Amino acid sequence: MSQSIQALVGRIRSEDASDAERRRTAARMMTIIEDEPFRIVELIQAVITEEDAHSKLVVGVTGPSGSGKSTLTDAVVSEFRKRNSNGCVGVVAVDPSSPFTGGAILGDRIRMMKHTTDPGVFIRSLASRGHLGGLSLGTSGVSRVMQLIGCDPLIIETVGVGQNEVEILELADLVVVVQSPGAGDSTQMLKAGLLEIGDVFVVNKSDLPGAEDVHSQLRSMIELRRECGSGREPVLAVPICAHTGKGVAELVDLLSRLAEENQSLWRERRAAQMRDEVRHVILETATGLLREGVDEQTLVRRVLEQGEALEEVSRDLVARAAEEIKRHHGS
Amino acid sequence: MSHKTRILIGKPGLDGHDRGAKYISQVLRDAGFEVIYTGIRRTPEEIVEAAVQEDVQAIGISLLSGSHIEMFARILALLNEKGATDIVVFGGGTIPSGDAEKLKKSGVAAVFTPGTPAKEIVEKVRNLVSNS
Ligand SMILES: Nc1nc2c(ncn2[C@@H]2O[C@H](COP(=O)(O)OP(=O)(O)OP(=O)(O)O)[C@@H](O)[C@H]2O)c(=O)[nH]1
Ligand SMILES: [Mg+2]
Repeated sequence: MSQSIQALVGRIRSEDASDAERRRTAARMMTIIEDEPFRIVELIQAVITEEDAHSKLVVGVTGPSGSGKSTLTDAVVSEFRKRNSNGCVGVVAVDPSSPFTGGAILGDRIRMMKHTTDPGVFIRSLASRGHLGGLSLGTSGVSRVMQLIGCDPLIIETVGVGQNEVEILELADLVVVVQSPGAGDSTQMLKAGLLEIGDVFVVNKSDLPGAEDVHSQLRSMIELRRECGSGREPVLAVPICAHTGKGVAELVDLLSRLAEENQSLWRERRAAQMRDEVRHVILETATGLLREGVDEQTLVRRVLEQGEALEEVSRDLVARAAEEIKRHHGS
Repeated sequence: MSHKTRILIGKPGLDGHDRGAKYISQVLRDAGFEVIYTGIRRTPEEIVEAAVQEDVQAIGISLLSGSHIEMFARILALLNEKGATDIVVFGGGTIPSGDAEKLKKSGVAAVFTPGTPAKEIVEKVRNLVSNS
């Protein structure tokens, strides 16, 4: 597993790599980054000087469990492929890991199987691996590999979300929130952080009773938000039936138009995003180092039983880590 | 860091009985594996391409119909074509013991017949992927 990311990037870009080899190498790189998310740094280093290592459109698809995110993604992929038969569409789909066994059944891909043998589509399923927030730690790295092999647009499907899984904001240019009839009333929508992260809202399963109600509830909540004047101004798409494809062309029109309009804005955002990704892994790695060889129970006892100040205990911990590092690197 | 073993489960063939495939998926999930479940009526082409994109360590094929010999042969050939022979292939279902032997000779790493205890399946699969 200690293959160099840089070498793999080179292999993907090499003129004499076959298409099959390129795909396999990309898939391998995704596994490496999934297992060791901090290695996204190597990937960023390998592409940092390039303007176009980023797709023009990264769409996040989120919403309650079972609202039809995967089925809708499948339909959206078909529409994008219809419009551009030369390009490559990427999908990263995250499903939850079992908190009990750490295992997972990843079932998003099953809704998109018809694209499997299309050489212009690359789909990767990820398990959340205990990470909260709707994605896995490795998702940002895997998305970068997708973009490296030219997937544009790239679609990222989050786990089915409740209220606090809003990490997708950091990765996507546009966040699409998928609702469907039978998934709670408007108060629940109001409570959910989802309302605050959506750029585009869409009601799926328009063939089912109640779809219109959800649609009009969403419309009034979006109007309310507009009156509050707080930040993002979400757009309501026409209702969709992902099964039949009704409304999907309109959604893709909307996404493409927003991408066009916002390209220069997003370009700036991407630079910040890259720095954020690196900042994340620095902190993650530091936390890991801090924990190394520390008896956390002793720390807990110092706070609970000996009444030491939290600040005091934390400072000790950092000081101890600093000592340790000095010793290791002999300075 | 946290390396996880990823396994693809698919069911080729025309019949729609996915009980076996779902059962094995859950058994493997409960044993801590990450299972990419691809559902019924899959072609060998779909199974192999999905396995490459998902970079799985193993493919598990559930089969009820009589076409197992050709089906496995095609999957193994495609893996070979894509330079992905490091992916382990195992199978399960109502496969006559004579055929099971033939399959093993042709490169299928294990064949589980109905009634194989879950524990035995998990142990065998764990062995297969740790040697690959
Ligand atoms: N009636 C109807 N059912 C749909 C439609 N789209 C999806 N479904 C069904 O809704 C169920 C869930 O669909 P998925 O696409 O798996 O939903 P999801 O949001 O990806 O689910 P998770 O990933 O588990 O959160 C499936 O049974 C789909 O067949 C639609 O337009 N109409
Ligand atoms: Mg899904």
